[in-house]
Amino acid sequence: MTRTRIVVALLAVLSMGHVGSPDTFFVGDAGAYHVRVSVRLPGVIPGRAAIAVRIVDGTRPDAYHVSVCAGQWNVGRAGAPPPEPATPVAGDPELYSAELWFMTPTSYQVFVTVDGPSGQGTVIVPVLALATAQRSMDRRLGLVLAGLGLFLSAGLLTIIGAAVRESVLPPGVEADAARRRRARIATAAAAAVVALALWGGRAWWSAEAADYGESVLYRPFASQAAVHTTNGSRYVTLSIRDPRWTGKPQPVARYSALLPDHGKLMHLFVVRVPALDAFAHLHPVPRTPAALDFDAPLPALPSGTYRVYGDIVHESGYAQTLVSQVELTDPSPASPASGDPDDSWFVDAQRPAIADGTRIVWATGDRPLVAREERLLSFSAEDAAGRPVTVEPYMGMAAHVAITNPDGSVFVHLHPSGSISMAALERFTGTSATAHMAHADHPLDGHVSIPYAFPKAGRYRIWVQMKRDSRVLTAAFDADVR
Amino acid sequence: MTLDDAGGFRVGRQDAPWFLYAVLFASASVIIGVLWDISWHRTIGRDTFWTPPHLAIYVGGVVAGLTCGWLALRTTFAADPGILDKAASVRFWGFRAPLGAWICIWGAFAMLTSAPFDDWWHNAYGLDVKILSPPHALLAAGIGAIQAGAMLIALAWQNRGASSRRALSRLFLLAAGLMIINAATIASEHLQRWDMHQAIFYQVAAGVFPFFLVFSARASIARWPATTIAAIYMALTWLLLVVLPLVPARPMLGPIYVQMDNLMPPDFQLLLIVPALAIDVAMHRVRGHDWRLALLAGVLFVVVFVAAQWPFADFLMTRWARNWFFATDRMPYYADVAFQHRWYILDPPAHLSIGLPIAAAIACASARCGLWCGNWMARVQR
Repeated sequence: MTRTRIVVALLAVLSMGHVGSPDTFFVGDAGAYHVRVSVRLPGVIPGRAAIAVRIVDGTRPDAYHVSVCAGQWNVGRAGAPPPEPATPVAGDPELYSAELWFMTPTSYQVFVTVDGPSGQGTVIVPVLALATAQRSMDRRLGLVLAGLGLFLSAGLLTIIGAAVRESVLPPGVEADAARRRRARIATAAAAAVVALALWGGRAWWSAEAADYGESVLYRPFASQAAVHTTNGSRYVTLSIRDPRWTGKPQPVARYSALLPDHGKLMHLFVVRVPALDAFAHLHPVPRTPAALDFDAPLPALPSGTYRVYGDIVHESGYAQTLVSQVELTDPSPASPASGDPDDSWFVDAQRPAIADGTRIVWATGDRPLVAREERLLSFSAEDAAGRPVTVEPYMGMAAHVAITNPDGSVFVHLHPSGSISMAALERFTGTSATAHMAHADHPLDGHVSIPYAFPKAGRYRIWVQMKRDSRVLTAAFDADVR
Repeated sequence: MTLDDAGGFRVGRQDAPWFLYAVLFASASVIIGVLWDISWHRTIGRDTFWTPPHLAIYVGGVVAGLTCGWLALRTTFAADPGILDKAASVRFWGFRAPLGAWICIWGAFAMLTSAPFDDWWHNAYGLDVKILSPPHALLAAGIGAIQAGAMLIALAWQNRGASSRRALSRLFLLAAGLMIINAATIASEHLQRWDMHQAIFYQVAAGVFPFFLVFSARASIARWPATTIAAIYMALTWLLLVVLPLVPARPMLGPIYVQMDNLMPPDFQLLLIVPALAIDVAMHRVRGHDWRLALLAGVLFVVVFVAAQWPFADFLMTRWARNWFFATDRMPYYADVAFQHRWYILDPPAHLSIGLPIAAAIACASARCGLWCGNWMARVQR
């Protein structure tokens, strides 16, 4: 890859899938093998993504054959190119790496196959192939190309001058004054044409770049959040107003109908800025089947400016995080309307959440967090004595985690399977959300380890949500990423 | 070199020089590489700098650049440059070489410049999904320059009265045929089979082909130059249509909507030989009146091309054309269901009563420009 400086427009920063964190991190089982998979996108689509497959507790690289292949959401494996072998990474006996091409900015199924002592197993990883970078040219390359362009332009003019001055003269005959004058005139005219061509080329280049920004670069639906009070209760509404979402989705397009994720059509996160000291995880419902406006009762949140993130998933597996902002000016009503039973919020950001003596702790480990380095974020539910406790499924999962940073350029919603959309996974694997919900009462291990790499250095806030005794516990942690 | 009775210079009895064969090889290599590369993109998809078609393209550029670079150094510095003659060269920044050689060198530099530009383009905007992009335009300009340089080297020797004029004329027509393949390839995004009943198809063809056919014909000493050039275009394109599918290949990028196990051929060639024949006839009949000739050639081109290509388009959509000879049944791997559905359906004609006269006007202008260019080329001696 050429050395490029990545320049990302503010809009793109604010609007990447999972906002500013487009790479995929997944943990699951390929048959008998427990694997962690990361998909690092190239920034541009079409382009090559770096795939890393870690066979947890795999100690002999020669004992496993790992392959990966990517099928677009609508063609699956039948329309995927041949699998790519993943090669062992020297120095890490668990790790295998490969590259995969993503040709279209849409939703993909990545098939990870492990063949080893316990037979063959395959796991599907939903991946959003998003173009998120618009690169400018490296200064040195720019200078080289500009020099060559100048050379070519000057050379072309010299050739045209020579053609007019001498090319039709019989050998040995010198050009007379009139011919030399004509050559100068022709060179001047050609210079104008070359200048026009360069100008046209620049305009063409700009148009191509604009087209890339418009049709390839990831842009979530334009949306607007608003707060209104009805019957004494305060509601937040997120309205989608975008020509790509008319309320009549096409089944064959990436913007197909919405798919419930953890049983909800939208997961709405509101975060007070800049302090990040108030947080709510709500589940608004569409006002009409067209799914243009989503309403949710607001819990008792303090006044202030809130960033609003609305996670939606299409039937294609294509997930988006809609981004907006809203002001809460009035004091919270005394009796907020009751919303979705899975709605939760957290205001006191000064200490970990404690309810019935249970608390959530983060095992940060000794090593500092480093940008773009994949780490396991390990959280546990403990009782007051520090003993591990079980938790109940919260929307089918042992935990939900939201991460953001002060300027809002990063927002991500994780759970124990990683950063993937569970709705997309269910779609691709043929399982359904109800399968998870059927076990809603079964206790789960209160310890979760989620693979993730913070996309850049800086300060982050992490909210971890678990459920116990039918109550959602939320804890907030601060992370300093180098 | 001797002074002849009429006061002109005559080159001694010589066959076509070796470097003309070298630049013709370069010209053929780049255009075959281009058609092979398009087939590669439609079949395999996955792309690096080191694919065989890319190597064919750049080998052509390097051969042309090195050959003509040697030509320039030898013409400039050698005390006895052999068959080369400093007096039959043009000046470029203190160096001397035939005009065609300078154009080839320029083309080689343009091609080499396009390589890092294209590489950066892929990194900035992704792998090509279109033939036409700014770096590809620069590459096409370089390829076109090498092809034009080959034509001019042949022409200069032919026009200086070499005894092997007939052989040189044939080489010139070959060079022109290679160039028209390049022109047809660049314009191919607007010359698709399903567009053949659309005015835009004939307007684009009218803008491109009369110019190349007429200027080559005007510069040539052959009896049927335009017809020959068109025949070379059709024969070479068809040859690739037959040969490329013999190469095993399978799609390596997704989504794959069409599975295949050999390279996809280029589209069946346009029936250019028919309007080219009409242009030759017009050029035989009208002499000394270039404006009148341009008018006649332009109108004839459109009328005859429509008469030939229109019904042929209908034929290409039938099952009779779905075989190895016409290969209309070969679709690229990325042809989705909607694309496949319209594969054998011509877009309906619209606004032809205005569109075709516009095409004729474009063809007249194209032919007139071709005559201007051809008149100059017919006199090139260096």
